[in-house]
Amino acid sequence: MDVILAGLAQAFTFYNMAMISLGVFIGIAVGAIPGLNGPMAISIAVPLTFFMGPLAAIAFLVGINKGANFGGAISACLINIPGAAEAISTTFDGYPLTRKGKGLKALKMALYSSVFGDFFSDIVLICVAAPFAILALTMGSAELFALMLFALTFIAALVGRSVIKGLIAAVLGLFLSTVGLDSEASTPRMTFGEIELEEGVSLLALVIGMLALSEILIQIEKDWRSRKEGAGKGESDIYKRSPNREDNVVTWDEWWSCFRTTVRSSIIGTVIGAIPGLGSTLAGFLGYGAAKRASKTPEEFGQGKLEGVAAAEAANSATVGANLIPTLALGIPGNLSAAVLLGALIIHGLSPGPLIFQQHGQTIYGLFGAMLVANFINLFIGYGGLRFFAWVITLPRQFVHPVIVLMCFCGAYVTTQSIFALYLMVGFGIVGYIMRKLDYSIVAFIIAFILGPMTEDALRQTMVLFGEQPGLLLHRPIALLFFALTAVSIWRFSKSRPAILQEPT
Amino acid sequence: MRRADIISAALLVAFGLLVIFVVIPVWVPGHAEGNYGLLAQDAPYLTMIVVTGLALFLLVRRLFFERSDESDEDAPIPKQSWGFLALISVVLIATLFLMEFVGVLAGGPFIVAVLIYLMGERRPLAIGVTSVVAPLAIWAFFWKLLEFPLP
Repeated sequence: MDVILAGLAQAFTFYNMAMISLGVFIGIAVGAIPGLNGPMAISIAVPLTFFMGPLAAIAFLVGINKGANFGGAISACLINIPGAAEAISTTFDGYPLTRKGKGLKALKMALYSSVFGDFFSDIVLICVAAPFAILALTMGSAELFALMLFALTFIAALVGRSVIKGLIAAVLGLFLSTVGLDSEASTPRMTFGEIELEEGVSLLALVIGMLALSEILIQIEKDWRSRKEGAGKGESDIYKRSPNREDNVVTWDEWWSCFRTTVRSSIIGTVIGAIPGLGSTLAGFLGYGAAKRASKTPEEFGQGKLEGVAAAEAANSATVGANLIPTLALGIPGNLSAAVLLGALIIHGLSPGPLIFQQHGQTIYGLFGAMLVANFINLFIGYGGLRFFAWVITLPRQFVHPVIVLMCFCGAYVTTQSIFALYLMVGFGIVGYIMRKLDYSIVAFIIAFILGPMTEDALRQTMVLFGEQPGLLLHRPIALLFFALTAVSIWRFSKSRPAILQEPT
Repeated sequence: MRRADIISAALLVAFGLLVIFVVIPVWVPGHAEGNYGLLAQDAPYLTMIVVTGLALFLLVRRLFFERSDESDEDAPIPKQSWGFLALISVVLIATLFLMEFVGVLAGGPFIVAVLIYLMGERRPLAIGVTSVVAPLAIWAFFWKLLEFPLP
């Protein structure tokens, strides 16, 4: 209990709160700009955390993640373009509200429900993660390997449009993680004589290249092609404040009438978020769909119903905390943001997995405290800065995107202080561009790359224990269960998948 | 997408075979002392055999079991995209060289100016000011404020 209280108290230092505030501010601003998203912002921001302590660093990145999650709703509501994929369902009612002159009301409801959903899932995370980790501690290497295999195949099978291509991307990620010194005997593997490769492929160069640079290249190409083809820029509605006060505020009665929906969506989002690979886009759709089904006036959904905004935002934001349940307890990231956060934890000397609560308990409870604080800061900054963030989305992207590309270069360089990392980053940027176009999931690739060393170690230990007597594996029911689930998930998802599961890669 | 899948799967099979028969035997010692349970080569071999197998499966499936009459007009990477990719690769490589041999204060303005131009901005003043001010600000932020040296 002392560790928990000491950890929670750490979050309330001025420095940590300032870092969280900065993170939330950056997150909302980046999330609001169409084409930019949370994982991209986190990956570019990781190098900025090198001068911070572990807690401030992770709290800063978590702040970005939370801010970006709400930021996506701003452009979704105001210009009908979701800042990120998870805000697609927010456009259904958010934009019609703006068309009715109630843009500020829609944004405020999005903010309140987003913060509520996020807070709800953080509480679940705090209650569930440690017991989950204790349970995970009872697992041996065989169970851990089987679990990793299941998580990877499950994620690979869910993201993208093709199970086979998802699996290819995941196994390529595993392969790439074997580059560098072998963890057992320090044997150099595929280093091609490059000293920089002996520590393996730089995680940040890979993440910045594949997540940020490749996405920006696609955005730049869109503008380049539209200019060549003579297409004009689409007109966007300008954010205006209505003269009627009730169009600009969410009254208590309105908030209360949406409360059941907000709670329902928060539960849906938390459950979806805790399962690796499902993602916040799906949560948003499911939360919105459930609200529509439960409503007495479903025909009003899509016409500018405040409840629709609340349902979508609470659900997609509730995945933020829940994603960290498998990340912290098992070392298996639930989505891209969690994967980048996992990488940041490793860079700052924390090894996610069942032992993290024993080895770094104070820091982890500090992180939990920071997450709770970040929700309130998100509420205050989001509320106070709505007009500023609405202005941010009007910034011309022909100036924003090139500057972000330069930040990718600087971010990748400061990680290793090596030009080699820049070459890697550019290489991965181009590979990521091609993978996105050909629908090979970069989500599966990155998560597999991060999980690779842990998976190989678990396989090695399993081989040591069971290599000569594989029959003994039959006495490990949990491992057998995960092996069976792996086979079933591949078979099931290769047969048919609901279209809603097909997330953008 | 069918044609793109066939080409990408074929390239992956070729890449897999190259790695299995050339790269791993040459660049991963097979029988180093101290390996316990798994040899250093095992994980690279295992993963690349799986990749090659899956790519072969994708290739065969697309070639023989998913014949489609639909035209491939909506190719995932049309010709213009290949042109863009070639152009942007040249720009990125030029930036890398500038950063390596001159520094971020040469590479930064170069890439920012070129990308702004590619995205359609034609006002020289706007391009000039942004491509000078932004790299300077980033350089000052990293090097002067955070004390992280940049190239």
